[in-house]
Amino acid sequence: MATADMSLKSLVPGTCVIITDIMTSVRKLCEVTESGNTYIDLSDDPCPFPIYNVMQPVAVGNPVSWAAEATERGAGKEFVAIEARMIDASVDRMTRLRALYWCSETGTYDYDKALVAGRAATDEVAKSRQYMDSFIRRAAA
Amino acid sequence: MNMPVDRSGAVQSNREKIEQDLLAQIGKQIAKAEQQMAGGNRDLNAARVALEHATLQTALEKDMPTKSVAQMLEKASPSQVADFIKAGKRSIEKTYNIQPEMMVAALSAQVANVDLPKGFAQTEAMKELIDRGRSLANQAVTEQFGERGRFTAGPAGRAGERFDYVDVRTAQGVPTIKDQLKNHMVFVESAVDYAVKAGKMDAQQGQSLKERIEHQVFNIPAEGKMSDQFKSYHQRASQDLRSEVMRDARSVTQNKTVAEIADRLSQARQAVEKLRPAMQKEAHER
Repeated sequence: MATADMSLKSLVPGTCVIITDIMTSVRKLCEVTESGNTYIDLSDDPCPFPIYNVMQPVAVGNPVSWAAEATERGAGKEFVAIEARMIDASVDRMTRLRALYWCSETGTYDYDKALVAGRAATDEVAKSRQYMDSFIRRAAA
Repeated sequence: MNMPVDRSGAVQSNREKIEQDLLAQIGKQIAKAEQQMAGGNRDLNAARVALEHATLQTALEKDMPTKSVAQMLEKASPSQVADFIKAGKRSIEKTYNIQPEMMVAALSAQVANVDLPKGFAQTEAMKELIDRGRSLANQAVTEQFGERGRFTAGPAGRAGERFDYVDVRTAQGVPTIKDQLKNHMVFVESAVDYAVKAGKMDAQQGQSLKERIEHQVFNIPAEGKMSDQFKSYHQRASQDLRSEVMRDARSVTQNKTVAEIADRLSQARQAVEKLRPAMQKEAHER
């Protein structure tokens, strides 16, 4: 039987991390909490999950670095406009981060497309959480 | 004969209204943050963390994907799943020397001895403030980059003088992005000052929280695909912006009037708290 490496990774609070979801193996974008070694992946149900080294966490910056990247590409104004519009529209926080990261990764600065991508990513995370909670409900029954 | 109009009453009433609005906003923000710190389902979150831990550990020990372990668990009976979660809790205690409920509580800043500035900083209420500040800071730096290298006349009318960092001109009366950012940081600092005066945290914790928020608003993370040259520019621009905005913001928050407003809010709330037992008794007797 292999030895399990359950060590945790420490990252900078307030930055984003891409990590493999344990229950579904999907790669998801999350936000590092103030402790530095846990993350939040849903805004409306913020449970802090540990950042296990073995789940291949990759630090990917946050809207400040993505805005800087966009500016260097000549799309800074488009990026900050999308960010401001999503904040004003009270887009769910994690969805907003995923939408903005999508802009950064694809180099496409389109509000509607970004929002669709952000919502799709959040839906996957929400499904994984529902899957996890179904086990907990069954155990409590 | 025209009598001079006494506007002092109207001005005073307008000022009181502005103060009341500001007080209400600040108080609401801190109350929201406190509620978020106290809320959350600790037992459910502890079970989630334990289930994830057990799934991962089993996958590693049996050298199989975590998703496959979860799929196997679908076929398990309710008592087997319950045992699996309990095993996860025991393993957390053994691996990290802490009970899962305490681990979740510590991670969620729900216990008294957890770093309060961290606890406040990670509430959704405070994150909203950080996000708004970041967005404004991003806009300011982006605008500045757009204006970089523009030629403009100097103060003595010298044409052709070159400035690397130029304030963007806006229409008369429209606040610049920097002004909006300054006003926002005034609000943030006032909210933290109120929390300190209301006894939610001590002065040192308040200062630590302000520094954490400021850092998150203005700091650029190390990760990023931009060139080293541009990153260096951006860091300089962000730090210059931070120095200028925070210097102006602090000159407002340290002004006696703002401190007096925060004091009065704190006194009003304490007065209500003192009256509360008598009011409750009276209500009970009716």
